[in-house]
Amino acid sequence: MKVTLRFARALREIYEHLDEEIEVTLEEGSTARDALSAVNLPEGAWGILLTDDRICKIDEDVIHGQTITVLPPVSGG
Amino acid sequence: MYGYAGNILRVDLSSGRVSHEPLTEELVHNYIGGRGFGAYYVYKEVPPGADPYGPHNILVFASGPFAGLFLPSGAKTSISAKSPATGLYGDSNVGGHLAGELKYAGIDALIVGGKAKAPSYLLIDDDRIEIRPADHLWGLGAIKTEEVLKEELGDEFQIATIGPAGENGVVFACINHDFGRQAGRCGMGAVMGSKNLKAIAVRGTRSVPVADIDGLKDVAGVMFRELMEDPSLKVWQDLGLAQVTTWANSIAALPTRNFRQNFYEAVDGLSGELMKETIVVGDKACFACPMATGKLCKASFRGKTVLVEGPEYETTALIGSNCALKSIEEVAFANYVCDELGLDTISAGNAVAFAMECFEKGIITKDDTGGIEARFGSLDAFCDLVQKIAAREGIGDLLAKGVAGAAEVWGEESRRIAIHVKGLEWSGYESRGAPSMMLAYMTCDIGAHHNRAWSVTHDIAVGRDIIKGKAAKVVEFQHVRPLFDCFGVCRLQWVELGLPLEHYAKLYPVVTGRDDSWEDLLVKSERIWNLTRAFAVREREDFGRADDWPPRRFYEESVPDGPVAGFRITAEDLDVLLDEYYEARGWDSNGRPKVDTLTRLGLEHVASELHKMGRIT
Repeated sequence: MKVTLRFARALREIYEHLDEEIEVTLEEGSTARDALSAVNLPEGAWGILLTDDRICKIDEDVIHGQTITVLPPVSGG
Repeated sequence: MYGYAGNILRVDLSSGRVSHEPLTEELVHNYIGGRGFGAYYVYKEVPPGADPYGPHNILVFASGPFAGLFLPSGAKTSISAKSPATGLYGDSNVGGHLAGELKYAGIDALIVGGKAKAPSYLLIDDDRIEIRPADHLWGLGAIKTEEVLKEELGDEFQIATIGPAGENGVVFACINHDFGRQAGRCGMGAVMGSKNLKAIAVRGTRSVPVADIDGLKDVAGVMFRELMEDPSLKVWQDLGLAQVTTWANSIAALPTRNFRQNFYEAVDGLSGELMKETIVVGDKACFACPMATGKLCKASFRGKTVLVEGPEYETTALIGSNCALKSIEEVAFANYVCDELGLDTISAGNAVAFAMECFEKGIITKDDTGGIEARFGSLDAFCDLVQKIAAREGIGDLLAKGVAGAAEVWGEESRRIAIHVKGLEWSGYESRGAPSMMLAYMTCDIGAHHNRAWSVTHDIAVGRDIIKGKAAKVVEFQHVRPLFDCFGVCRLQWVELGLPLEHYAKLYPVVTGRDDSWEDLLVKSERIWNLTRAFAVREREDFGRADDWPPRRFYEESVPDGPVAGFRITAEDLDVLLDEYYEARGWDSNGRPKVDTLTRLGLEHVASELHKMGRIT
């Protein structure tokens, strides 16, 4: 299945290999964490995940066609 | 002068004299505004060895060129003085609506010196400036004082107040503004209290000249548009800074039980999501800010229900997990108690957690605490201890000197776990698993605060166990981030929502008419950084490398549990970090700026003074 990751600007500034949108191919039963692993983001590199205007938990199952917006972690105010 | 009101206001509380000085080209060119103005005046006018509580200390309220203009979000006032917490230069900034109001009243910087004979407050109503009696306000809480003054003067006045903690000289007393905003760090509230100054009330009606109004509209318009389109904005509006707590825990940076741990097993009870679901009753924003990170909450305890702004992340970390409180409502109530007493929640959380661990270890007993069962997890104990701190009663008189001051009395084992640098308590990021962040805390010019350089994500990106090569990023942040405090603008829109720095580089010329490049501005920030360091070198003959050292806990104890269990940073690692840092800064191996460095930055007079004193080479 294919899942689209959309990366916020502040995150792309830290991880320059990220495009604004990246489509990843995953096996059925994969989670949001698996999707992020597919683009080589280390643990702690992201903050909150949004999907369909709600917060997506990191261990939540994802489905084909889903778009996840990846927000950066905070930057300390 | 475009972007500025063009005026410095001086108030000598000893004589009651009020005077004006024109803002000089030299000051603006070299120091920009805000913290830059504060550093300039504190270095120039506070004599070496001056008592932070004495009449020779000054308190500088300064905005900057972006403050009060229609851009996101020119809301910041820097407040500077010699800090009673560190004995060195200190500053703290506050959002809300004070910065613009000062400029509308025709003031770029307000310098308060001397000491009033009796409790007073300062009224600034455009050109009408009066030192008024404040006997009826003395002893009131910081928020209550603002409420009373608003009733007396009118809602349109912007007001800064202190609470009992400031009146009583607690070294971590804050200055309160706009109900729930604080200039929290470095004891600026104690300096204000030492001058018998309970409050400042400001109303202004002037406009601020801008060099290129169409250019400002264009740049600010793009900035607002980009903010409104950013997917992060809604999360910030919904959760504010409270969203940080679970993330900080997930990456093992959440201070827990006096920084013994960096992972809190009960974090779910403190999460931003839970806060929104259970206690948030409204949103609040600073001047011209679409993020609206302020969250108004209701909290109940001991049969009393209170309204409080917050808790934001730092408060949740230092009062919540660091004191092992169990629920966000408990943290919110504790937040209210600190706000009303006029205590910085970061240092108050540290002080109470320190007392709790000392109590747990038997370093102190109920004989010392005045009968308080000072256990981790007890909101009763928290409230009782901070009341004593603000009133300086019993154990509170000792903790009112900060964890460093209390540890001097409680002995060697307590000194090992007193979490501070230079006398300022550590803010909300435990850093054994983040070496560059550790260095940022060690070298922050005001003590252990995160706002000058926040580099945890840099550690995550390049490797949390890597030591070498990290100093350059810390230095870079220490120049960029404080620029925002000089501009009088909030940095959240850049650091959290990713507004490009290029926008701020474009704002500067359209607002001020000056042709400084971004690189020029960074040099000014580096100049200010070296000036505050020079203040420390001038102040203390023995100031140097040892002052940049973190508490022993951090290099003697491994992280006990959580995602980075077993992580340890060694004393040798710390030396590597400092060596690289001093080299990058052009300082000697003892952490003192070299003559050549100060000269390169246009601080020849400072180099000459310190060289003559035999402090630098």
